[in-house]
Amino acid sequence: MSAMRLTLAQVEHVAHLAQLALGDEEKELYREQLSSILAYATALQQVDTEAIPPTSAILSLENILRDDEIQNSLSPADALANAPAVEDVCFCVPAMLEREG
Amino acid sequence: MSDLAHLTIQEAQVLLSRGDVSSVELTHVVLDRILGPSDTVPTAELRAIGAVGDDQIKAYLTLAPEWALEQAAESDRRLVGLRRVGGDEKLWPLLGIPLAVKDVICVEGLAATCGSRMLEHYVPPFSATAVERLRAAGAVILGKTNTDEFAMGSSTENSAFFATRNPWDLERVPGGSSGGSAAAVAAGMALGALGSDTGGSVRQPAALCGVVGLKPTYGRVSRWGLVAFASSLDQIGCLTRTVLDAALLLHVIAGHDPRDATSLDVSVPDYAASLRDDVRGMRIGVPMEYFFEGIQPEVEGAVRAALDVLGDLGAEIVEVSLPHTVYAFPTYYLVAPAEVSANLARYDGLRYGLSVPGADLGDTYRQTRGQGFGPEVKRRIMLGTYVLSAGYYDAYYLKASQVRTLIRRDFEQTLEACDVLAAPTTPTTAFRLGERVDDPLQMYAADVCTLPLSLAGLPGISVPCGFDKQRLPIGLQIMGAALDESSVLRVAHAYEQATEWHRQRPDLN
Repeated sequence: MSAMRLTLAQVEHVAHLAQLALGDEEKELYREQLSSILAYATALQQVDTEAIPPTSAILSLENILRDDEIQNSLSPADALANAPAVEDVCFCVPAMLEREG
Repeated sequence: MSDLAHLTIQEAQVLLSRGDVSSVELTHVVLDRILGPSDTVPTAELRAIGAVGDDQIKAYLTLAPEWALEQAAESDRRLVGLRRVGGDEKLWPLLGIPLAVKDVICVEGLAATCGSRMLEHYVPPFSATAVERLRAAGAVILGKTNTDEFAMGSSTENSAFFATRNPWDLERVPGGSSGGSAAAVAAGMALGALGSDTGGSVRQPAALCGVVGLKPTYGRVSRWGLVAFASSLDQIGCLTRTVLDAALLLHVIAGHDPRDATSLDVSVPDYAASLRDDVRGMRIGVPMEYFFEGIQPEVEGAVRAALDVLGDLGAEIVEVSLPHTVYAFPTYYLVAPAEVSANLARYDGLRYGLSVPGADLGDTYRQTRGQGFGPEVKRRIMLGTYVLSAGYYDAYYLKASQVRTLIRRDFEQTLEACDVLAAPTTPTTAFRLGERVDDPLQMYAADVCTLPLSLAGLPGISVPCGFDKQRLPIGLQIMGAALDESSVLRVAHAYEQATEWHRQRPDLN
């Protein structure tokens, strides 16, 4: 893959995927900076990785299970203590669906 | 009195157990270094954001002087009891020792901002396992140290609140991201500290501040309560004035924790007991790739001289090659941001942290995240989202994960023939504040010598090995095989004991 420059539309698409509101200056800055970081990363294309398995985790641990027992956990009050909006023992979130009628 | 603030943990243990000094006295002296001398200790928790007296170094984000003195008084009662009626001192290996904790590690009831506006008002309802273990060992927690936002950075300038300064030169950075912890230990504002290392964030600031920084094997220390950055790399480590102190701290915080599924269920050796003053019979590999063009000549000179010292102490020094070293930098800056983009998706403005109400749910997410995250965090989320997105995954993320395997194999093969590897910790000494903030690649290059080991998940330490012409500290990095912290500590300790670098202190008022 050769070095390429991101387009503004690509930056906006990625910001949308990442759920980030960006100003126009930020978009332009990240277009520049991401392009140069990705250009640098093309160096990896020189490496022959045919038949090399990826390392996504360092440990060979797998299927860490515990007994199905009740353990201490946060109280509802503690769990909600940092929430911006709370009602009873629930987090308040904006409505997802319009009310009918 | 102010010399008490520069005691090593081991020296303080001796004075405390003999009753020559109390934990309250010791904690007062350290608090005075931070706050400036005063007759009264502030009663409320202080937020350093404009409030803490230390306006020279600015190591702390949150200080808890009243709580610290309560913990110290509790330690003193226990110390008196131990002297009077006896008991097993080993049950409280850090009894009365004032320590600092990096702000990405949770301490129940103390703000954990992670250096971010996103968590400016977040107070965790639980403590990290590593912190619980420090407390159970009798340590006194002083407060929370400054960090690059969510530990992403190499200079602590990415903190949303303020930059920490290097105690050796106030115009220079302390390194990062554990820059607050490193600066606090160097400046006598804590006897030791916890940090976190994802790509070098313990070793690199340790080198730049002239202290010891230990990154254990991935999985050696529980990450429960460490705010996630890149989960396949993150590891809690410690910053201290000596290698022995690092061994003492590691022994307390290491070990299996069922609350962290990536913590290893293996026995923890008595690290301090394995320290020796010589390295006879050990083979130390020197990877040629770490002495590249562009390394500061004084750094290379100091590290080469350190290798001579290790040779004189009985080690066999052999040149080795880790051929994929040069690829660690681009590999890390694809792998880590990919994990960032996933981990930081949790900041949604609904359950905790900043919330900026928008027109609808999606707008709330975007406004909250757009305003709550700083430039470096957003840059990495964007980069990570891009490299994981449809059409680019194979070319970037998968490719980097494969190269990561080759980097691991380099280490595994080399460490079959060598006990440890030795190299510079950083390519240069501390750079000036502001010098690299506008150029991400320049900033990232500060970690070029620490990234490979992180990608391989192996243990490493930085130990002071000299100064450049401007009297800025230089670090020697010792790297070891998985779970072999003992060899890493042994070589670092033998070197340290044969030299005087660790006794040097910055000139501060």
